[in-house]
Amino acid sequence: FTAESNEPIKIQSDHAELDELKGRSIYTGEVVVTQGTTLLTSDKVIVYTNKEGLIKLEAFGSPAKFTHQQEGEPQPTHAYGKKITYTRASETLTLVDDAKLEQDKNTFRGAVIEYNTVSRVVTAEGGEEKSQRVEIIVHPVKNDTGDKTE
Amino acid sequence: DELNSETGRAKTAAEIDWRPIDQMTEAERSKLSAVCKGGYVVPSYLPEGSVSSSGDPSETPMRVLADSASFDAEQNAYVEGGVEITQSPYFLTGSTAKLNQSTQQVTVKGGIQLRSPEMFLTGDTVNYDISTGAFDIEGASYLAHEQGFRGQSATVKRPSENLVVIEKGTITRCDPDDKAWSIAASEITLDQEEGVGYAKHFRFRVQDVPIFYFPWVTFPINDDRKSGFLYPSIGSSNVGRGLALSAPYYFNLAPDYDATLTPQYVHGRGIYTELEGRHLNTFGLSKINLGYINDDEEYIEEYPWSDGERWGLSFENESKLAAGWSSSIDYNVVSDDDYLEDLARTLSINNDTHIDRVGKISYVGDVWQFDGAVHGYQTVDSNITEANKPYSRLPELNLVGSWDNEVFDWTVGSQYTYFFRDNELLTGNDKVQGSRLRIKPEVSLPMEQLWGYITPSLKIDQSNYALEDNGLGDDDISRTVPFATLDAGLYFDRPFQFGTQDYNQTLEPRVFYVHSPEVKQDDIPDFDTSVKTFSYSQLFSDDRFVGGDRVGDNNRVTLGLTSRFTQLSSGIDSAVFSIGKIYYFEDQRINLSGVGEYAESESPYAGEFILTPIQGMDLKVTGLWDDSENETVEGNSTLSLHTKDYGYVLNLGHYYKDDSSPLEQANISTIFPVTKKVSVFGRWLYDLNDKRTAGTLAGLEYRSCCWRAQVLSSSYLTDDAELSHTIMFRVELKGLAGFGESGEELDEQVPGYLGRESLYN
Amino acid sequence: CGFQLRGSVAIPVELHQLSLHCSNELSKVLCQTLNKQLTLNDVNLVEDNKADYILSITSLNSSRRAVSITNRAVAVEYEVTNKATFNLIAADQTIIIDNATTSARQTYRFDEDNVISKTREEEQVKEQINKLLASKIISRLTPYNKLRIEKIKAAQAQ
Repeated sequence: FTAESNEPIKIQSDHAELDELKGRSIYTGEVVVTQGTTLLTSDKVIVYTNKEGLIKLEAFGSPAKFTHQQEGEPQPTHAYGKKITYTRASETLTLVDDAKLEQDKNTFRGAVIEYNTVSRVVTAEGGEEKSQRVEIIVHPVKNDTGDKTE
Repeated sequence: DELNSETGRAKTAAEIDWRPIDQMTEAERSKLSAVCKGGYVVPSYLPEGSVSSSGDPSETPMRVLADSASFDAEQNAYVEGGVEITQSPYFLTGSTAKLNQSTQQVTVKGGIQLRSPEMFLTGDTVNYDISTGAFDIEGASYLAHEQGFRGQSATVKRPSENLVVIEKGTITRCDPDDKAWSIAASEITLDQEEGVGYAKHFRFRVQDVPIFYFPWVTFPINDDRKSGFLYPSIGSSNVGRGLALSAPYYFNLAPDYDATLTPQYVHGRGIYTELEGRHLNTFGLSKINLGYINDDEEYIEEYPWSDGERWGLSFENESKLAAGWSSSIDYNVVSDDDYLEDLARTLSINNDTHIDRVGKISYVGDVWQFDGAVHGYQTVDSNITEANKPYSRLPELNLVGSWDNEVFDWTVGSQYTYFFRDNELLTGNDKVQGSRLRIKPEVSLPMEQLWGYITPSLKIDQSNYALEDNGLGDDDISRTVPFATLDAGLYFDRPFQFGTQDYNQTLEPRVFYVHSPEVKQDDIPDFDTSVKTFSYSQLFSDDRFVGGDRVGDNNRVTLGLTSRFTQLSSGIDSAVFSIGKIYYFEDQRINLSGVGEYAESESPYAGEFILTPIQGMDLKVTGLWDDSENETVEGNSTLSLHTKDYGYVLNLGHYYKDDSSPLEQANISTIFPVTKKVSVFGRWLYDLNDKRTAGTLAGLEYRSCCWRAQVLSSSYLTDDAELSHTIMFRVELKGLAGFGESGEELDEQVPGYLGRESLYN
Repeated sequence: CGFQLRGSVAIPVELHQLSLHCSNELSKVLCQTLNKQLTLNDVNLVEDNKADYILSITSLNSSRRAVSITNRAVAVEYEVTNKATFNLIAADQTIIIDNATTSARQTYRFDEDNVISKTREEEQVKEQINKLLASKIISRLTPYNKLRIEKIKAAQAQ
């Protein structure tokens, strides 16, 4: 989801509950949010809007799944988390609870992962217990075949 | 616990992985030499669930664990807090790390530890290439567990899989708190593939004080027997050799050949240089050894007309050719008779009288066996007269075939030899030379059962000579001697108990009859023949002569009895008694200038008694006892005792001959530890007839975990029957400089020495 | 006095399907004597794939040392010692005998005026010792009956 893209954000779900006054609408039941090639699937989505439009979108799933294909990228980026929050102002996606992100052949896990959809910068934080440390799997790229990302 | 208590700085790799003995498992302790206080243990460092690697780093995924991480657009990662990077089999920890995707380089900082199966390194920072596994570490300490090498250095680089480069570093084998010896160098390269280490500006240090300096040095690092560069042996001897200081220098010229140059200052003689080269090819190993001294002052004094230039050359090669075929070359030559005694002094107690020059090709198959050789000698014992110098055999060909069907066994032994000798200085019959073709077809009819056997056999010993200058008779001689033998024996068993052990005792009577006519042979010269040593094992041989120029006349029967006590639980013969006697129906007249005749009706009793009741005890007594004069003609008895680890060894020997050249000598050799680190070993051979010492060896050894020093003093008889002495001090640095081949010579003098070496190293 | 003519074979029946690995290049006398004595003990020698056990002679080395010397340090007598290493491995790779060694020694009189004949005598002495080593190796197989083998297999199974 990016503000610059002129693509509309479409949301499909089994049922929806709109609350204009609070600027909040809740979609539940196989919710699918799309914007161009970007796709977010989850069990429940809460959209927060104000006059200018979208402020924040929270998706809950077990886990909720987000895929985003950037031009010039061989593979799409996949993100998972029991709760995925997209805040439009900072253009960042925050993954919480079993947060996982896959980019090219590398995967990241951690208690909290933030992914800026424009600058593509990812930051990950570990939780208190040992099991919640940040984990990154990197596949070495053979420098001779040279399909490295520029 | 990452800080070293005394120095307060971070623990080195060696200090982290070092375990005192009591914290080691039984298996780890067994690999340790008894004098070490502890050893290195490789902890299982890979976190669970890490995938085992295919070995090629570029295919193995890298897993990073940390407190926090962030990625920029170019996929470069910045990771902080307890960083753990696993790329099996490597494991890297540190406080912060940066992964650069484009260069595939990971840089880790802050108290790093890098583990691989062979090495463990610590340092301040490391650059690690995840596609090749190459790394370099600053402020490093390192430990190679298997070889026990440890050290510290400014940087350690591993540019490729089996190359490690240590800059401004130290290297030693001693335990972490032991400064006994270490090596400092501006650059040390360890090439695991070639098995060689190279060092520049090499300083050998004791307690961190430099003692030796060498600009450039190489040393083997694999477990090859030649395990040494620094082999400083300082010795002295009163045979005009005085002080001798040698320091060999090792060249690894190529993976399959190397050389060792040993310049040696010998007080009273000058500079004696030895060069040993070794070359390995697909067929086998060749070794060349050259010794040279250009003006030996001592020798010039003794022989004023000589220019003092002396040298010795030996070349050995063993090669495996096609299936069953092999060849060997052993060529030795020295410039003068005293060379070996003066300059190539070994620790063995007897001097060589002849040195061999032989080239041989052999084939061994199931039916046929062939070997062809040219074999000559250089006689280095000046007391041997020209006439007694051995012939050269140019060539000697042996061809032996054996077949058997259900009933008969056939063998044909054939030999062609051309005997040559430079005979200008010789006169009369000593000038003779020529060729001999000898063919011995034999058929036997072995009738064998469980309880016994009877084996009649017939043999024809046919020889043809083509001689030159035969002073005794004409040049073409042929001799045919038929042999008929009958060998029969029975096996009786009975159970036998001694203490708690059950044995099977056997009683094995044996009869051996041999008949061969007396064929005139006194016009045949003696090229290669003498009478065999008469002993129990000779009682059942069909000819008293060995060599081809005399074939004995026989009409005799041997009666023998053997009783064996075999321990049922192990199958080992704990005791074997054997006794036998020959009864002559006719006198034995064929002789070799008077030797080999026998006119008595009976031989002395020949007996053998072997007792090996427990492992590590071996008593053997053999003897000849003349019952008519009731005296021992000959008696050898040896007793050897040693503990399982050869820590304690005692060998006793007594050798007695009462015949044409009477002899009685007693020998004792021993090894025993005085303390855990200090041991004494030695040998004393005493001649009871001449009432004087015939040879001694005394060794004092101090053994620590990473080095060993020995003082060796030996006295030996020289050519002019005088006892001379030599003292030698030598140091062995474990894994870097060993004693080389002298272990075999010491084992000749003190049986059990090599057994102890293999368990202690 | 209790002695009876030998009635039974020394090598247990368990080992009667055996493959012998003994290369002639080590010593033809040793291999041929082993072959003959095994056959005499009703062992049939078969190829590896058909053998229950493999007896391999892994090494044979010979050493010589002077035990008595003249006053000019010339050897009067040499003692020759041959040492053979062997192992017995079952078809299922259980190690029954693990690199055991057996050795025997014999002396002969040296004579510096007859170097060639004394070299030939040393060869004969070595062959006699190798014949003795063959029967010592055979005798070391005798304890391995069914019971003993099962005990070894059980011990290695843990």
